Amino acid sequence: MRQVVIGLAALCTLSATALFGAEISKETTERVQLANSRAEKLNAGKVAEYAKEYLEAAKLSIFMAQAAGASGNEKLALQHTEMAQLQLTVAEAKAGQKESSEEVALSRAELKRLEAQLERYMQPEEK
Amino acid sequence: MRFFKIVACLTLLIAPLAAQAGEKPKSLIQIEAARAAIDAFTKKSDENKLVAGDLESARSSLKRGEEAFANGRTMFGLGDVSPEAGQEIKFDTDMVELYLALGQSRIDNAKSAEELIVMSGQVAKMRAKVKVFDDRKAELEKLRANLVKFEATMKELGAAKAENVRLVEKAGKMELERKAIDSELEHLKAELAKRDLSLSQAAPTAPPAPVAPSALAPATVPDAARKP
Repeated sequence: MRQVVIGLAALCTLSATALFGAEISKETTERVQLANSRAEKLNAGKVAEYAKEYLEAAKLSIFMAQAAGASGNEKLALQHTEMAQLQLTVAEAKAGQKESSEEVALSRAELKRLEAQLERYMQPEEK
Repeated sequence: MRFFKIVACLTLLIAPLAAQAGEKPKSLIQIEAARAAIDAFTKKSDENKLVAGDLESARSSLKRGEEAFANGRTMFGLGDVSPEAGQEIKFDTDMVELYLALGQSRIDNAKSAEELIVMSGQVAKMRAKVKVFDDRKAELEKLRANLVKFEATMKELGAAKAENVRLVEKAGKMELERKAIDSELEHLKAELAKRDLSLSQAAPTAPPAPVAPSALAPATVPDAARKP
């Protein structure tokens, strides 16, 4: 619901921008694009699975940055871009952490299986 | 009377401001929460070098937020800050939260990596132990299979030996039979020779009488043909 409201607000801003034709610097636009392409790249990988929450938040920040850029609010666009980049970094870190946790869990299960196997070997064979 | 009117007016004017002053502005609450989070994380991370950068960034963000709060306060320092300052503070405190989340994630990740190294070592050791037993088990299975084969071969050998004994016995019997037949043959040959001799002595001058084919037949038949 919150995202829909924000999206509508951003759309209104974009419409207003189209009317007034405000612009932001090329550098800021590039930064927004960079964050967007990074988000798309991460969205195609495991991050989308492991840190969906942060990735979605980053996408929303990028959208807000684009809206702010379109309305000519450079400061706000930069803030949202900076936040999106940090959210993407956190998403990557969280995904890496979850992946590591999964590997640890797998190793633990493997160790348990091997211990059980060894236990069976150590028991005297039934005749 | 006039004095009372002035006091009443002042009371009406000041009362809402005083009430507002009692409440903490939203921005201040955000800043205080961010500060408390930083303090808690600093304590928790125990000056972990891994998150030093994140903590530094979080502190910088907090400082920016505090500055925005200080600069954005409304007249008399009462109530919340201006909307622009409020937005800046929200951004800064959100960034603080993200930096701390990133730091926490780094700590957890390092812990997981460490744990993974330990687990991998334990798994490798355990695999080596299990492999010894696996190899022994495989060897045992092989030996068992060989034993089954050996037992089958031994059984076959026993049967072959029994057959051999039977055949040897049969050969012995046949040999005895052959010997009996040979002796019988010798005996018959001797008898035949005797008969021939007696026949030749019984009629020395008389012309040779026509020999009946039935009497001549045994003499003309070769020995080999007469054998059974």
